[in-house]
Amino acid sequence: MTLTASPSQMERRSDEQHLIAGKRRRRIQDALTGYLFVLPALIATFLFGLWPVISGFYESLKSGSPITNRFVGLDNYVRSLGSLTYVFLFGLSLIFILLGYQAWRSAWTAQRAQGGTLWHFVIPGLIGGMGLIVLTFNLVTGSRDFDWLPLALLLVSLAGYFIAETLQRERTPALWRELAESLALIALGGLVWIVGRRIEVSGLLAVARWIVLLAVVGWALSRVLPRMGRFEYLRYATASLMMGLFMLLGILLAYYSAAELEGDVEQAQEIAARIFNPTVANARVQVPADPAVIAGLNPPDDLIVQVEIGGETIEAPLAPEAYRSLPPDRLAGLIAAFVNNQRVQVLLPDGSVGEGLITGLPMGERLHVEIPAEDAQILRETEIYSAMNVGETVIRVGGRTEPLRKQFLAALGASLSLAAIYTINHTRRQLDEEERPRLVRRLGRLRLLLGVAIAVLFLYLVGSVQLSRQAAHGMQALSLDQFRLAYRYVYDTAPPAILRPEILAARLLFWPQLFLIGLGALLIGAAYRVWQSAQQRETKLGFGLTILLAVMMMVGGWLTISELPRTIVLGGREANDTFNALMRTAMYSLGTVPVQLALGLFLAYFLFSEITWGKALYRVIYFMPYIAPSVATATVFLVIFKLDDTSLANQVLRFFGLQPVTWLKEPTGIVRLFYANILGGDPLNIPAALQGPSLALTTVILYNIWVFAGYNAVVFLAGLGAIPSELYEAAEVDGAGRWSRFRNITLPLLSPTTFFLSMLSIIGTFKAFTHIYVLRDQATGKEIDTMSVHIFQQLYAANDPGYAAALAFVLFAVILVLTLVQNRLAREQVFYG
Amino acid sequence: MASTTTPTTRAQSGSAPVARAQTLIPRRRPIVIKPFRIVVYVVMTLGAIVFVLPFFWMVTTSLQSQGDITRGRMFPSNRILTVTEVTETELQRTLQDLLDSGEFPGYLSAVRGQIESSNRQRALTVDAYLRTQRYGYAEVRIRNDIPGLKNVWPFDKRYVVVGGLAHYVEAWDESNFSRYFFNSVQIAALTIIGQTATSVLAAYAFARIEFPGRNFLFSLFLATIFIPTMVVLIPNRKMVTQFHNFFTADFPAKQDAWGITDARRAIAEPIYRLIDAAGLENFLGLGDAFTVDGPIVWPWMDNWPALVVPFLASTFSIFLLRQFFMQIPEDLWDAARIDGAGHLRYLFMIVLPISRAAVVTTILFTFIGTWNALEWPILVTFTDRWRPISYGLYAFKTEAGSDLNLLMAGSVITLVPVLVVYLFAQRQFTEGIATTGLKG
Repeated sequence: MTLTASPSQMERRSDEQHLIAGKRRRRIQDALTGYLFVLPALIATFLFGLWPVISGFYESLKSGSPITNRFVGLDNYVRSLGSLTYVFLFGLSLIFILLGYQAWRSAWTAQRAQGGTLWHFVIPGLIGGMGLIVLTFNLVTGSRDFDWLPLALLLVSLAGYFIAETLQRERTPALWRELAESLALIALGGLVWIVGRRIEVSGLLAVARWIVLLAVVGWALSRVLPRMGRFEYLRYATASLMMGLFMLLGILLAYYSAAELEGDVEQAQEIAARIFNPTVANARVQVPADPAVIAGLNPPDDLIVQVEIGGETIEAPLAPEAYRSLPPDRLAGLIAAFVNNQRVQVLLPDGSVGEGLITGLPMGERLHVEIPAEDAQILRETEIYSAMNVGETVIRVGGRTEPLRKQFLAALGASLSLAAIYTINHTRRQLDEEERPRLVRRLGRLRLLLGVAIAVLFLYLVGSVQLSRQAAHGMQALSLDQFRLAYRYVYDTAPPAILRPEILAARLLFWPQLFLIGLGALLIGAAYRVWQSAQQRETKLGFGLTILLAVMMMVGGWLTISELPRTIVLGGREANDTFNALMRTAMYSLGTVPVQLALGLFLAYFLFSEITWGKALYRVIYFMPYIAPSVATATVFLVIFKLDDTSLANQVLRFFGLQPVTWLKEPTGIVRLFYANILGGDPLNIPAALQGPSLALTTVILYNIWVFAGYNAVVFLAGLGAIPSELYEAAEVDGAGRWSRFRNITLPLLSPTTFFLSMLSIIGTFKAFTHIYVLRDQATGKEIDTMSVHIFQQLYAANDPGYAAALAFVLFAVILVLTLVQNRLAREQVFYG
Repeated sequence: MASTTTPTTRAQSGSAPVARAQTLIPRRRPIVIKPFRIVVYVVMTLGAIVFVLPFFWMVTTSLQSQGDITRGRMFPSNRILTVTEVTETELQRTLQDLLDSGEFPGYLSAVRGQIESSNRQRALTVDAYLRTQRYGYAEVRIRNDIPGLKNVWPFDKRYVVVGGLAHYVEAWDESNFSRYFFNSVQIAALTIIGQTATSVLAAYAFARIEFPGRNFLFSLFLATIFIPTMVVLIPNRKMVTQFHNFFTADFPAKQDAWGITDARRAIAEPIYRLIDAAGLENFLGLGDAFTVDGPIVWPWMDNWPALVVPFLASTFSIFLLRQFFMQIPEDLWDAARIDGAGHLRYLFMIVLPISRAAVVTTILFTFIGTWNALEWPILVTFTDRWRPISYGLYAFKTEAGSDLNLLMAGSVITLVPVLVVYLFAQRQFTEGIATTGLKG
């Protein structure tokens, strides 16, 4: 307020201010009410809807069983997907980095219009992103070690934002004062909070401390946050925070995955290097002709236990016969643990053998005894393996593989060079060649240099990948016995049970597969770009050549990506289970969604246009299955599709003159069944890949159609109601028939509904659980276990929550990808009026 | 109301031609029988029969005897219901006695010849005989346990139910479906109360109140739709277990230190006396929350909180209610504001009465969602005490084995409340589905 204003002016202004203040107060009040109203739902949704996604991811990194609930890193994912895990993770980190780039890019575009220096915000953004990541990490793991760190980081980043904002403006003393004030407030709030929480007090004082802390921090926040809200360049701040968060997340994820991958592969590489060389290949070793034996328990002399025999407690050595009854076949040794109240045989002082219960061990402790097996008496000499066996080349190069770290660096260098070339191209296009000819020329030379570097690095990578593959194939060629012999020959001990040649081979292949799949994806992506650019070519020859290039790249990409199935096979039993469950889910989806959509559309169309009398009744009937409890209806299906000949489904079959079938217990595909039972051919003529969903799964599909057709019809009805009737009238006047009206008006105008329904149904089939869980039982086996049921079984029956969580995230990723792809397709196909 | 649900209502009532009729000369349309229409009717009716068939099969199987089921019959061959009052002594009489005295009860006279022809059966008591029979048999005891009334009107009677409906009595009484049923009713009631409260408030805020970050928060809510249940199932179980551990172990240990015990002694004891007098002491599974002996222990697992608390907010309900609230004209709010009403008052006095239909719809969907839930109850209930009916039926599926009639009777018991609710409010259901395309 200025001093020179006249009284009337002052009055008016104060009125205005009053009004503005009132408006502002009301706005604040409104906002507070809004937050208050949303709060309960927000808390519940956050606690049980959103937070679980983050904490569930952490769960998936831990070993499942409640007893050994420890951090195992990516093991669960590797169990469920094999090396595909790493493909996904590197892809994910790439997506994060791209998201960060996009946030930055959008702010960059804004900068052109708004001015200001975006670069000032980078450091606070990075620090803030780091703070958020550390905060989430602390919350998820519940770690208390560095609980001050995230807050400190966030405060530093906040202060940084204030500084950056101030730097944008015209510098006046008032501005500096304001900045100093804000920084002091931030520092004060942070210090009070961090120090205050560390003071150890108890009782009422603790309550008082909390009140003081909250009051001080709340006051500081209430002063600082509105100031931040008045930032001119708030947009830069949020963009830089997003950029920092996503970039760091992407880099951390990539680094973590690389470290995990290296950890997995390193040991395999080392073993390969040591067991594949001419010395081992030519060595002759002595092997027992008989299996190893444990002749008896020969405990060390000092192994004396307290035993209760006939109410009397004595100390005596364990008798050699204690473990006679064990089958000694193929045992490399015996590891036994004794607990209290276990019945054992001991040597009595008089030399005889007595039996009694162990006592005197401390509570909950075990007595461990290790007895190596006796070496067999008869030995024979043999070669461990011949070079022919594992491949000459592996032996010749001595099982050598390039260290993974080097290959990572090479791959990183190649991709950075690629990005640099891309940037250079972009810059050169922007530059005016006549204005700065030297720079353009230099950039051209640099590009050439980078191209050469890429070629060299690529050759190196291909060579080392080939080495890894050779070693892996050699490893695969070994039998378990050969591997054990070689291992024992090199290391002088037996290999741990967990090390098996096929596991080592799979690990050796992790990186080659990752590399090839990544390369394939890159090639296909590049092919897509080339294909698009073909349209810009002017000559026919140029067009043809570009198309040819694109096709070749696609074929090449496809060939490299076709490593995928092999990856899954090598991933072991669990990865196979995952893959089968996913395939079953896909089959279920494909079998259900089109039929149910078509049926729903058909019902809705008839209900809408033809049925005049009893419309409500039909709707009620067709909709009933959807609303009925699925446990109840699935149970009825269980009865209808019973195995016996007298079940309703089999009676219907008999009515049509067909043989009864074993519905839910029938793992044969329906195409094969149709071919065998109706056409009368040999079912084995139909290849397994073409046999379609199994009859068991088909039964579930029938159930799904029955349930969802009515639901689809109701949604379609709403869509049909929204189509203006004038269109039909006009078409009728023009003489369009029923079919052409349906084809040319109804279908296109319904496409948003169709798209919505198809998306929902596909996701629904991927989430489907209840009815399948009711329809399955022991005898059904895994034949109808779709992904959701598979996950639930891992959680509930196998009690392996960590693994189940990992599988759930795999499912989540699949659903997300499907949604994105569908959205993409919809943009081209759906007509939104 | 009519303007709010345009697409569906038009689709339902078939009022599309009405608009056209107004522009033409109003006259009654002659009924034209088109062959295509007849075909459509026939097809639709056949389809409807196929769609109803499983429900029909459920009911008919539940009424059939084992013999009928193995023979694969369509309808029950025996009677469906005979209810006869009997005494304990009558049940224990042997059939030989009845033959001798010639006083066969009505429900046995139909099989008299069978008994007369077989010596082995004659030696059986009525009770044992009925149990060996292929058709349904159940005992119902009706007893008056109400304290005051008991003295005035002592009542203790025993009936036998013979025929198909006996399976329902057996499922209800002996297979614990009554327990499951009322568990589900209680869980649904609690969930509905909580969810409706949170959803109405949140939906109103999202529809009417301007506050910074509104769109962001709303998209956060919507994001939960895309998260598969399986992802949240595992961490949620862990979280509920943590709550359980806190309220059964950590919290009881600290109550003395926090002064809660003293406070309870002062405040809760009088209340407890009242509650005790009303006979409600364990109504909400709070255990001994109001008694002062020992600390408050509030188990979550295998208790109602585990089944209710995770469902206290529903994106579906919020979305549906918000859609509805947004269609209420702005003028109403302005008028209310001029009259001095705040948000809360406006919400309760004007918005809620207008949108009763939408609220009812969300309640119905919540009810059905709770009634149908299976995977979550499997994870958090271990005993029959709080097992809801879907899980009860699922567990019974493995127990019942070959007693398909009992299993189907259980299914019908599970189905009936939902169907009743649906038939009474089917319009709300279809509108709700058409608005959001989702089930609760």
